[in-house]
Amino acid sequence: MNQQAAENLTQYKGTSDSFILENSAKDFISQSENVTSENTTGDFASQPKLFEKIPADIFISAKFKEKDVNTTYSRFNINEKSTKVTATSKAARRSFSVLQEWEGYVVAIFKDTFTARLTDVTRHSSIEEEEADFPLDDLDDADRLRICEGAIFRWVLGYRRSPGGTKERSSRIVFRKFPLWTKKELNKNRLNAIEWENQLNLDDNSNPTEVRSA
Amino acid sequence: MLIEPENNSVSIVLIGSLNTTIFHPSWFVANNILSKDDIEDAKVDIVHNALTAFKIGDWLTVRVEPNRFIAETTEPPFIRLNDFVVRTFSEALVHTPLLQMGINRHVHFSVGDEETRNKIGKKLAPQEVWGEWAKSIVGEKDGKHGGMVSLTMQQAALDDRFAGAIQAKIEPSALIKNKTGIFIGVNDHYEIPKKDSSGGSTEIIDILVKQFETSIRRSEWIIDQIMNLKGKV
Repeated sequence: MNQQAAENLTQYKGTSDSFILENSAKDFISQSENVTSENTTGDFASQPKLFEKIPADIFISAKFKEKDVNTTYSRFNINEKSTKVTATSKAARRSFSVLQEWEGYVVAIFKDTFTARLTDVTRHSSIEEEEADFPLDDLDDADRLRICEGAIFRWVLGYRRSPGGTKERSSRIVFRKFPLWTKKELNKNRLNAIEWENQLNLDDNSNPTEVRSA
Repeated sequence: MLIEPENNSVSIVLIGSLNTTIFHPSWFVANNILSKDDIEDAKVDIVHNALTAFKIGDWLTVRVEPNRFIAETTEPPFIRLNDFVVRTFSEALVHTPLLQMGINRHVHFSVGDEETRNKIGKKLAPQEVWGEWAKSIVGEKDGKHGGMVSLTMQQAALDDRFAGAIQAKIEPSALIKNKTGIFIGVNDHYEIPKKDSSGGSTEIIDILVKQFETSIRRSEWIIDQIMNLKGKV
């Protein structure tokens, strides 16, 4: 505890000689908090913590205007208002661990199946090395209606584990939803295309024999 | 990863200036980020000017505070979380100033038995360096014994960002029973110069698009370094 922190202690009005801290002193004493903007330490997610009442937490934060720049995620189950960690919060949740993942795009759609070209994401491949057929029944109802040629999806294979601990092999297909092109991006792409076209025309003019032989 | 996790998640945390009350599932539908089918099993916990929180099925948990947006998933493919956050802040909230971002990867895995876990803990945090106190650390009472509670390592020398760091935290797992589990959380933190945030969310979201899968792969590689200890202690 440094000297500056010691100055912020006030004597506890109790039977012991212990002290309580002014709230602002927390910033100086705590070894896990860093008041600079680069700090990302703090409680991590996924570990059950002592839960506090929602109103108390919100009002305390507002009162002391703590600037939270923590980009770690501290899980907060707001349905748990008790200060005790309950048994359910300590239980393992349902989880899915990936054995293999592909990114694919749809090349053809048939009555009961669709065909896709696949890139192996697990091996960090950037080339489509495989093609596969999938039953349309494997898709969610909504995706089954939305599927179209060119649609991009991720196909994951892995183990699904239940809260009770049982494990089963499972796979799922999830279609990706990309941001819409903005006008700015479309204009930039058009300009790039014109530039490349001009460059190609320039190359054609400067090497006419190469073009004819191609 | 070398050991199949029993529990794992990915979260994206954005630091900026946010209006918490708009982040209702219906808002995401109105802005074509989610569909009506997506939010059919949405569960809204609270919408308040200090906190908004909701869950959608098993795949998305969102929590928004006045200066922090958190989206988390436990369901692969994790790229779906990335797509959700990118769409939210590149379409509907492109003018929201964002200053910092964290991509977090968390796993709980079992090393098989308590003895192996203890050996890993002692390798990471040798007790003998604590001198005379070391003898007291090893003591046990009511089934609990002393030892490493939490350890964080940081990498700060990173040339892929203006500022930030990668931090990995390791602790005994509170979710896995029989004292056989280890929790590791990796936080990959990015910052941009304050002047660049005046352009809204674009700078940070561009980083997210570029770095998300690289970050997840790197985090899993870091986690593998600890998982590798299982066969070596």
